[in-house]
Amino acid sequence: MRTKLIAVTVLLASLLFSLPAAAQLGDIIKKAQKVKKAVDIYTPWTPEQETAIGEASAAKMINIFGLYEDPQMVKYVNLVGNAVARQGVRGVQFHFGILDTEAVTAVSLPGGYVFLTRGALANMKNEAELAGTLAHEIAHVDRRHLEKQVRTQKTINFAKEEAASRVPAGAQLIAIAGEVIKNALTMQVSRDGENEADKVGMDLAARAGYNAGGLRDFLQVLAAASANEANRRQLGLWGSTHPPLADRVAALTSQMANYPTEGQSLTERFNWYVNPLTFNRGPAPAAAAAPAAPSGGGGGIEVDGVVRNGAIVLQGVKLPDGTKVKVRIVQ
Amino acid sequence: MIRRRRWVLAAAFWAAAGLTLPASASFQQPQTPQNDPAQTQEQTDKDKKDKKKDTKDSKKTQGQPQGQGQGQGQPQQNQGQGQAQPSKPATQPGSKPAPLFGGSLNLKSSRQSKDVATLGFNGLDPNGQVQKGFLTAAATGADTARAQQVTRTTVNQEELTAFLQEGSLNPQAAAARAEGR
Repeated sequence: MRTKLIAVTVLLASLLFSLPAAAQLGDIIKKAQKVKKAVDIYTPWTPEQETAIGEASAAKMINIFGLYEDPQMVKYVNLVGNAVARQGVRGVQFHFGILDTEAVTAVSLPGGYVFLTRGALANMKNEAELAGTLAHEIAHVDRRHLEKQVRTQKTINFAKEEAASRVPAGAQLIAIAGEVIKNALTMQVSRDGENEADKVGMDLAARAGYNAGGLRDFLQVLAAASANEANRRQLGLWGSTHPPLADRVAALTSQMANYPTEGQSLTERFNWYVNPLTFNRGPAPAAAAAPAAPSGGGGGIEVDGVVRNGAIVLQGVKLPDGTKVKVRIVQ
Repeated sequence: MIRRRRWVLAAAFWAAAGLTLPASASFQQPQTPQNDPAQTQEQTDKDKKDKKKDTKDSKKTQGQPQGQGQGQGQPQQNQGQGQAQPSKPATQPGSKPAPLFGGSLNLKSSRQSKDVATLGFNGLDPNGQVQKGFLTAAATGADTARAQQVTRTTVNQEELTAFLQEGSLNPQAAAARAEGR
């Protein structure tokens, strides 16, 4: 009798627990997974995650374009970037690098990595334009625009499955870096994000003491150049990752009214660091044309110059190709 | 009598196990298909989508260079393993994009003579878009080392102060903003 009772109890209990409870438990687990995924998508990366992902993404960016390693020029870009970044962003250590490509673009990555290209530097006229461009990228990092875009990508296992505090490594880190770079180089940041970066960037540059119109001026050059089909290769990357230039120029121009006009442009310093000779730059607008002066019986002109990296850099003038020169060393 | 008890108990457990197993299997499929035709259709569609996705993923995996997504690698371990990577665009004499210097609205080139610079558009196709091969390739150990070099490039406070003074820029730094979003 007792045995039968036990047997019946076991049967009933198994029936009770097996069907509805398991189904309910399944539902609960599924809902919990959905909630966790949503939380992961909207939880910012921790500083450790951001740093790890940023460095891996930077490595991939360098894999694609190569790194331009002129120490003085890299230092200069870092000085300008830091001058801007210290004007009130969240606690991120910024790192600035120059990509070795003729394409004109600037890209920011999580973890404070900001890259601009040789092509971009070659087409800037002064330090205010450089500061404005870097400030725009700093604003993207500050507001986590790219990070948000990547976190919402459903294909990222990191966002779906991993605990929020875990720092990715190995294959997972490579996969996330791949997504970051794909987003940075092939997709456009939302119009709102781009407008926000323009606005915040102008504010940062102006507060640092630069002419607030630096980015606007640079974009104007690009807008004019993009009208020429011949520049497609140089500007294709910019065009596919940014909203139309004319719209941004108009918005920045109206925003400039809120800032003082006496900000610094620092053309001469820019020309000094961004080597005017090797970057095929014309005479610096700030420098007066070199006075023509007859020199010892040759009837030529005398120009100022300085030796830098073993080459003579002319100051205030650009000579036509084929010009014959004699060098007289002046201490 | 004892044997009979054991037999009954064994039968009960066996029956319980028999009932529980299929129920456990339904843990991941909470509703049986015949109960809800609409649900069945939805499930079928979902399965089809999943299959398509799987096919796509497997195609992608086949096209990926070695070392990508294989789960074995920190970037720095990839160097020198002979992994298939797209070769960097070779700079050919005559392949220079001629339009760069022509016309009044052209952009300036930054070609220069330093050893560390390449002459041209690394990683880009003629439309200025990143070549797909480069997007899927994994970074090498050398790339990681360069990224770490970028990380190490910092400016100290003295340098920055002198730089700001020289350019008559704002010497005051704002406090780091607390993240409110």
